[in-house]
Amino acid sequence: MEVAANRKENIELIQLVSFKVGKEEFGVDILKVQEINRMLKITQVPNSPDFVEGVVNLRGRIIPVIDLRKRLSIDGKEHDAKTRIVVVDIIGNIVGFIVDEVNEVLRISKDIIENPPELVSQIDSDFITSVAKLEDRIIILLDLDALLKKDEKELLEEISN
Amino acid sequence: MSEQNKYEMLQDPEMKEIVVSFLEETKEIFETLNKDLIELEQNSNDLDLLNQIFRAFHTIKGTSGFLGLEKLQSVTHKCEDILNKLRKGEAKLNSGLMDTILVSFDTIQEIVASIEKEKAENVDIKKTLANLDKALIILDGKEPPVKTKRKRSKKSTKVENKIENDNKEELFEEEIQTDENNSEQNIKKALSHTKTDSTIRVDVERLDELLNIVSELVLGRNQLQQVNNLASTGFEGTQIARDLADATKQIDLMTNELQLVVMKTRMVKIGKVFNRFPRLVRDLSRETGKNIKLDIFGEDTELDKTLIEEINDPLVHLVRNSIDHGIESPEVREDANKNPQGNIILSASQEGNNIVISISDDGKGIDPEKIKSKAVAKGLITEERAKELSKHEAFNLIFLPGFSTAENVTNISGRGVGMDVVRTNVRKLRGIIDIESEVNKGTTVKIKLPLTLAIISGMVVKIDNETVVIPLNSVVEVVRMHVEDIKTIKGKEVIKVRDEIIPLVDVYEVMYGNKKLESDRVWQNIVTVGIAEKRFGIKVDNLIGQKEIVIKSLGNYLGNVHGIAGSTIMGDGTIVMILDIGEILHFISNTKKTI
Repeated sequence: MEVAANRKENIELIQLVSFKVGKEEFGVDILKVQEINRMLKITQVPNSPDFVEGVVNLRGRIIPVIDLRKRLSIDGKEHDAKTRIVVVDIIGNIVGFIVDEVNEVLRISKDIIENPPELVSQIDSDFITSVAKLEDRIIILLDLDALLKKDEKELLEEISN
Repeated sequence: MSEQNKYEMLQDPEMKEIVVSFLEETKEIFETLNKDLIELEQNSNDLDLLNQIFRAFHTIKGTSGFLGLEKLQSVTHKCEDILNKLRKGEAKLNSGLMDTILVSFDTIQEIVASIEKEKAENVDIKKTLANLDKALIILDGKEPPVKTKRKRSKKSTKVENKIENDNKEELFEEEIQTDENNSEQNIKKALSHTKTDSTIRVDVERLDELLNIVSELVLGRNQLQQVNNLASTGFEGTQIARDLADATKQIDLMTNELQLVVMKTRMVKIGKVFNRFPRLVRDLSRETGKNIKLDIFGEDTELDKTLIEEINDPLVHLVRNSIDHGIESPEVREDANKNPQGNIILSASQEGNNIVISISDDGKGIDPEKIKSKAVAKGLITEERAKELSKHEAFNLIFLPGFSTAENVTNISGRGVGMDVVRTNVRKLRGIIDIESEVNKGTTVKIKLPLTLAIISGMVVKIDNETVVIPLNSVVEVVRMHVEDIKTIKGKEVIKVRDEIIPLVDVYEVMYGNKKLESDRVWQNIVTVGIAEKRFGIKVDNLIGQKEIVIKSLGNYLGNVHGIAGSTIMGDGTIVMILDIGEILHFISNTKKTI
């Protein structure tokens, strides 16, 4: 790995936080991740979209938490000791994502990142920016903006209904 | 181009501060002038008042000359001329003259608004100047030639303008001198006034920031109290528990005090709003040919700045309504054995954590039957429904959009939007509005508003397993009802409290979608809440208590969630939702199509 990385020195590297939701492994740009927390007590917010699990008290700040399983239409699973909340900062919007487990921080070069194939498992391809092909596995890079943006559309629809 | 050059100073970044403070000062002067001018009309012999008004115009004129604001300067200068004559006893004030002054004052305000918005004096002042000239001609024959000269000079070349300016400056100096000679006493008074008025201007943003920090502190205090409670039971009798209790008490006291002080810094006297009303009443009573006296009480009552800004429009609507629909014409009043002069009372007072503003008149009052038939005629309610309505409920029909009892649409009121706007605004401020009226005796409208919007008192209750906060200012009362006293009308649960039927709302169903579990309690706690004029009851399982809470938004991402005003963090760190009673009510009335 190290040799390979050195050889591609002039190629841009990006750092990812990788985590698991269901069977798939996902990654988000580390610069967008503010922190990773163990599960916190979630307070339900009535009348909010159903993938919004609720809000948590993050050191005196109230932030909404999205269940990534629900968001990506993967069947639900009980929260356990490995469950984590990945807190991301998307243009000033601090939002937490519930993931099954957080794996590692990866440094990958940009040239192993490809456009997503037309159909990637059961996940809505709108949320996928690209796919990173590692030697032994594939990491799906999530488009955080889209994860939020689409909600807005749905929220709007909800309001107009 | 030359137009632009003229206002160079307004755009000069170095002058920015001076311009801003000039605008602020001037607007402050306007507020007092508004009140003083009307007072002058009633007490035209009050020399102190005249001097005060004269000085106000003089101040505006002086600075406008310095900033090169020609239009503002010429209008204020002429007003000053008139006032100077009045002051020296060379002329007597009459209503025609007063009108001229008031109209000029309006023009001055327009010019200042234009300076603020467009950085220029985009106001046509020809008519105002002509009026002022006419008034001056009537007052004094000597004045006109000076003015015609001035008018000419405006169109003339720059050189001439300069000379003109020099002349003007001399004129000012003279005037200031005479002013000083004439009323040394007044100047002494003015000096002592500036000494007691030791205020500084602070950016509202900074105050907001301060309030935010205090809000955090309140949360911290709540948390500390919770820890203290645990410690006092767990380590009962130990020194450490006692020390913690003392420290907690101290912090609690200081936090309360700090919160109060910070809130006070944001408070503005309601007189700021009330001051505009004497003028409004004067103008409208003239327009309608009615004789109306306005009494103002409690203008020193203080309100949060944001509330002050929002409450003006509703008050204007209500006072207009009183004048147009409430007070009768002098003839009618005399026939009814009333004082031909109508009376409107505008008052404000503090009641606990609320401010109550009331507008009452001694006019013809509201006839509930008339309102009902009007509402039926307009198709707002059905005839059967009208028969069921109580007097109180009938008054509330006034708030429906599209309602107006005025036979003719005048330019004062009658288009039927007013009361709807009033209600919307009051609701936005989480206030309650109430109407009381007696035919031929008069009408009183009461608006109850919270003191501040950021920190509220809330009633913490448990509905099923969910803890929620009901803002205390929308809570009317808590009643305990026997299950058998909860009746159903058309499938909807209602209770009867002091002859008023109050519908019950299953908040849990509205908020969380599923029906609340039936409890087998014999006695049910019911919190009756009200927004604007509407009342309804909420069944709760547990009343936990009353707490000072800090409203925290749910963040941009969730934005506005229906029925939720925000959330707050309790002492133990849990998040609790604050119900938005107004929205819940809105939602219910929309789905049930009832009033």
